[in-house]
Amino acid sequence: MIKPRWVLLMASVGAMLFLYAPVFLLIIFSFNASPMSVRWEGLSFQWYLQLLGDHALFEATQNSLLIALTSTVCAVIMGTGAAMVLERRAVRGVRFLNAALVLPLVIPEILMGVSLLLFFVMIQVPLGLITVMIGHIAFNLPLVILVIRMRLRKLDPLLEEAARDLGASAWQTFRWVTLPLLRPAIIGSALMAFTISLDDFVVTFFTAGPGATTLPLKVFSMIKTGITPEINALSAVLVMVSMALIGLALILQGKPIRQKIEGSYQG
Amino acid sequence: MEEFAVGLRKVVKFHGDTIAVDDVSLDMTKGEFFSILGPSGSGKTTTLRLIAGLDRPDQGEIFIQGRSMNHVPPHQRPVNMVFQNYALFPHMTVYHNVAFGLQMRGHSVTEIKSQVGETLELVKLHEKPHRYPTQLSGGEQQRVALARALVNRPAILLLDEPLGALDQQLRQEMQVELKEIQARVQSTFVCVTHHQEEALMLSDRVAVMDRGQILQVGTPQEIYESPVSTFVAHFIGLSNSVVGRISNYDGTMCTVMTPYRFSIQATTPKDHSSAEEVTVIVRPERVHLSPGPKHDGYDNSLPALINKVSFNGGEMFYKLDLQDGLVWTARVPMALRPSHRFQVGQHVYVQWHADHGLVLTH
Repeated sequence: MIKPRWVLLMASVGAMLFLYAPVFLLIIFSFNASPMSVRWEGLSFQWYLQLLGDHALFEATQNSLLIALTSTVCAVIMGTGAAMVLERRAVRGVRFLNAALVLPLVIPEILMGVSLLLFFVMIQVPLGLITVMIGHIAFNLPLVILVIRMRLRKLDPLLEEAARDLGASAWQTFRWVTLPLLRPAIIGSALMAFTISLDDFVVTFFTAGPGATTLPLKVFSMIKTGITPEINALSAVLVMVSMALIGLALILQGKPIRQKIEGSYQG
Repeated sequence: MEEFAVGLRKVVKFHGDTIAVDDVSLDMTKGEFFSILGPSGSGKTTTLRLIAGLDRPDQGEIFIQGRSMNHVPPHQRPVNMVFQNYALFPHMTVYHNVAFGLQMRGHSVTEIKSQVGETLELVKLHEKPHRYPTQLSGGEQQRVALARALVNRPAILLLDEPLGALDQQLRQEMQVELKEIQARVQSTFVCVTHHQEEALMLSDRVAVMDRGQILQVGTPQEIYESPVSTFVAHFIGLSNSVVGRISNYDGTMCTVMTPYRFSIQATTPKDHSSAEEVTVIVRPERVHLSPGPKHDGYDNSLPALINKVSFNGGEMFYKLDLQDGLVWTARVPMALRPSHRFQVGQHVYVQWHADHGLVLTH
């Protein structure tokens, strides 16, 4: 008879294989010497070298990083403010706002992409880097708000009242009590937003104009002309960067909230 | 006009539809230890939060040192609060927790250093300035909360159930210490508690609160010895009670007819009409137990059966069955002669002086 322990173990191994086998295969074949992706013909780093020399790819990477960084910073600043208001003030119509904020997380991305495109066309904003950034802020904002609100809900409001009672203004209270205690959630949500932005294809596809090609868009256009191992190499780098960021997010969110605040508090 | 440390004038506060503070007027004198005593949900914590400015009154006015506080935000009031669960900042060390108030008010680094050191010494925590709150015991956290408030030299220190989270022994130690600290800093202390013994021990004056209203204000002795109502009498200390009607009143002494087979003699300063319904309260330590019916000068003597005996170290507690389910308690100091000890099942006489029976009309 098979012990239940073994069944569980096999199920988990199967699930992991299902999730990661294609990714591993992709990474392994990025070191393939053959220009045809399906047959192994020996170890080579030539595709990585080719990657480094590809000017168009370099530009796409630059665009991707710029968009991810800008949209993350904007989403985190706006999201923290919105979360504070929603959790700490008596807001009229909070139930409607809650629903309105969750909706972008569940509506199909393609719908969001199309509607953003129509919107930009309607208000006559030329498509480009800016429109992509706005699109990315739009889908990252609900996520950031969600993560920070969860953290705020666990934070004792008495701590903020204690700060007020001890002579801190509303701003000082936020700066020296609320913000440090929110830090893990802020960093965690920022890393998640950054990763999602970096990987996004659908919304970017609809909102990008000429000169705003991002890495995922570039990869897609390269595939259209035939898959070369250069794409494998690029994908391998992307997977590594994404995984590293997600890992960092998880570590930082799990960390106990404690940190030293040195220096003076004046401000 | 005498300047009060804190004055509340007809203050009303609603929580949604329920009234939390109902037309409360109170004055706290400079330098006194004032307690607001009441069961949970009586509105005492809300009253404290109104003084601190964390809540705004819906009606009425609050004065601190003669100044109206209605439009003064919490961080500009000369008031600091020790929160019920301390609300220490978890991301700061003991030192930074205590320094917080001074830093927010922009004091210089050297000044902060000396004042924080001084205050930590006052609460006997000067050896642990670099610990985080989670690394401290409950009693130590309580001291940090106290130091964090006191370092700002508030004119009024507000304490919300300051000893509520401590165990019995620590609680008694801290009671003594709190008194000493108050004597040294000479601020007005306003303390909220549901613990009647704590309120009586610590306070110069006590206000008893229930359902948002102040029932009685007075010194601990006044409140204990002449409660205005049966609620106050029962809430403060153990009490024996029996209901009845006034049958004979001659200006000082009255006879109260009870539904049991006895009547009671009691003195009362208040004017009573005949047949008025009253409750007579007798404190357990005023009850004298005698093996025989001999009066010995006591005005009242009722037969009873000892139902239970317990002992707390200094006193014997006797549970007494009087008649038809009427149960009283007697508290007899151990210092009395062994002839005053009784066993379960023994028949005794419960005796007391007429002026130790309190006649209350509501």
